[in-house]
Amino acid sequence: MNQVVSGESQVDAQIVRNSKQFHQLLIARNSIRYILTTLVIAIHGFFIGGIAFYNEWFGQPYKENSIIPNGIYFTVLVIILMVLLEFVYILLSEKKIQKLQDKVVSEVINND
Amino acid sequence: MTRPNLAIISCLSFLLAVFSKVANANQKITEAAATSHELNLTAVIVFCLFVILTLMISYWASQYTNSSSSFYTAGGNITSAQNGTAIAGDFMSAASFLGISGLIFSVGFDGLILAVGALSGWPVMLFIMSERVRNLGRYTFTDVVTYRLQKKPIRSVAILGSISVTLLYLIAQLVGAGKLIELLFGLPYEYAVVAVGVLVIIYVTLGGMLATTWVQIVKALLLLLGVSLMSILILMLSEFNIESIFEKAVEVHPRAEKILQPGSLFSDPVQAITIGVSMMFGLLGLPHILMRLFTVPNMNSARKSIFYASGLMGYFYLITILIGFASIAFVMSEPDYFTESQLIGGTNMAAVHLSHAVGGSLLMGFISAVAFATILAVVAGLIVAGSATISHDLYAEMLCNGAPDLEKELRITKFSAVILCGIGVLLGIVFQHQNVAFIAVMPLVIAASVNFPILLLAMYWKKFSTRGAVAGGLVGFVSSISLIIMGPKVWVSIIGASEALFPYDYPALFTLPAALLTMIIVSKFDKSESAEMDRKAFDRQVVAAELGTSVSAPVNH
Repeated sequence: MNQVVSGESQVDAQIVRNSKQFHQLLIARNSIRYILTTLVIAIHGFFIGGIAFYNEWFGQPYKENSIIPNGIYFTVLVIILMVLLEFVYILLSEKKIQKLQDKVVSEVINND
Repeated sequence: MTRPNLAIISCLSFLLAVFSKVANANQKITEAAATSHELNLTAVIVFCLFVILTLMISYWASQYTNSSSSFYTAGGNITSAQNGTAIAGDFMSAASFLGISGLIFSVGFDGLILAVGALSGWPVMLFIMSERVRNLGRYTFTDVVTYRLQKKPIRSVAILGSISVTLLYLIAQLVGAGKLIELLFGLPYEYAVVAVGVLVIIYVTLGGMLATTWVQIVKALLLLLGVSLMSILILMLSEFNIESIFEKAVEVHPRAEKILQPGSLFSDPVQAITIGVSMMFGLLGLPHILMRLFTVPNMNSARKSIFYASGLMGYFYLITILIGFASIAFVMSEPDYFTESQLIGGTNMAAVHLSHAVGGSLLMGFISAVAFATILAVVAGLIVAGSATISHDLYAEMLCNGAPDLEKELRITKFSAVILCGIGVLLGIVFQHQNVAFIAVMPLVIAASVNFPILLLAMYWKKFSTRGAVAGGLVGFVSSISLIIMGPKVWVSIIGASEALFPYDYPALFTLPAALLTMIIVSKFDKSESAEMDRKAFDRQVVAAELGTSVSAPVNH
């Protein structure tokens, strides 16, 4: 059986779901989520795809008189980028999304 | 005398007996280092200190572990920094540290694919999983998928995915632990596996998730300290010239400059892609990792936990690159570390030998003890996740329809932890002479093909129905197991056939889309009344998932 949904919470949830504030919150958070997820998958895809199909480029030295190849720099860059993208998400969540969420709670839920 | 005291005293006596065995055992590592007594003494001292500290933690945690909630999720009172460190500890396993550096040692650049693959799932975990999972679940990830789908059928599939992932991961860890400890401490394999089992039972049954989290935190910090020390010593020895490390590595490695180029290990591009997919999406379905999201008080803490964990892991993997190439430069040219042209203990021991090369017996002893501690902590986390699946998902939710006798549930939780650990130890001993590489592959592939797609669609796709979830989950499960069996690791290496029926070891590139596609098609065509109910509950779920407030949250954390 499906989880029982009480009448009262069903109404409350529906009011929240249909509210403009919640809609804004959902759009904003999902946009950030999807854009950043796409970026991560693209970066990982470039890394794996590069290794799979352009392995010679990965093996070439990054600069003259150096033995360290592009691949090592690229790997380090990918690792740093992953953490940086997470930092961006945390920052946006706390600076922007949290305000929208607080607005939903104060204007829709508490008023209701 | 109280039960925790008795358990700890028995454990200490057992350990004393085990380590007296160590003192007399043949020490293979002696051949490598010629300083075995110093080495073992350091390793045993550091390890004993770790065990004493973690037993004290378990004793302390036992005073707060008196309900199912405190057992499964430490009552949701872990801070984000603590949880982040524990999550990082869960993922910085012996396989990550020894395996990746060992792979770089043997083939060079291709080892980095695993480092990036392991890390790249974490941002996705943060963006699309952490907040919603935290807000919709209570103790396990199956709580999340049953928020709006029909409980019994979906829980059956989720339990299948969860238990198989946990058990396979457990066996792989225990077999690895036995081999590693046998080599590092000279302890017989069976003793090593039983020692791990006994310690983990103490941690888990006494202190539940709280003890497991703190054991993981201590271990993670020790591991980070160890690898940081190693990297500082490596840089000092190379006069802070990283270029010279790579030059030396190319000079001494039999494959010369080819170690700087991809393609040695994964000559087939599809192999590289499917490994990347398995690692990235496998992470998103690992029950013991997902369970950690429920140990923090709210979605903000869950979010920060993942960020802290990724930061620590990013640092760890960056150092692993240095350690991998430095192990070529410092170890490969030293004949003392080889016997019959093979690295003593196999290539997985490259980092351990490197620690001896740069820091002598003291650092090697420390790193060896930390490697052992790593396995203990990871196994403890797996046992908590597995016992929660049995007692919460199976007993409380399925058999008791969500209204269990709470005391009985806690007893079942502890009992299932002991049983699971016992099964793990037995299987670990049974499989000791087998090639268990395929067991290490299975959890990630199953997690990517069963748990992850069900979770993703349950949280984000309104039209998803229970029938779709069950059908797709089963397709993911059966296809993962079948393709792994038909792949080179089982079909050729274990069964002994000349050619594999399926060419890839990690089939998630094929099984994940198969599961997703089945879920989508079956859900699209599902016009049943129950499917309509599943869809109707979606809006309520979205509100709960985004806000985590009492308006629609089914459970009070």
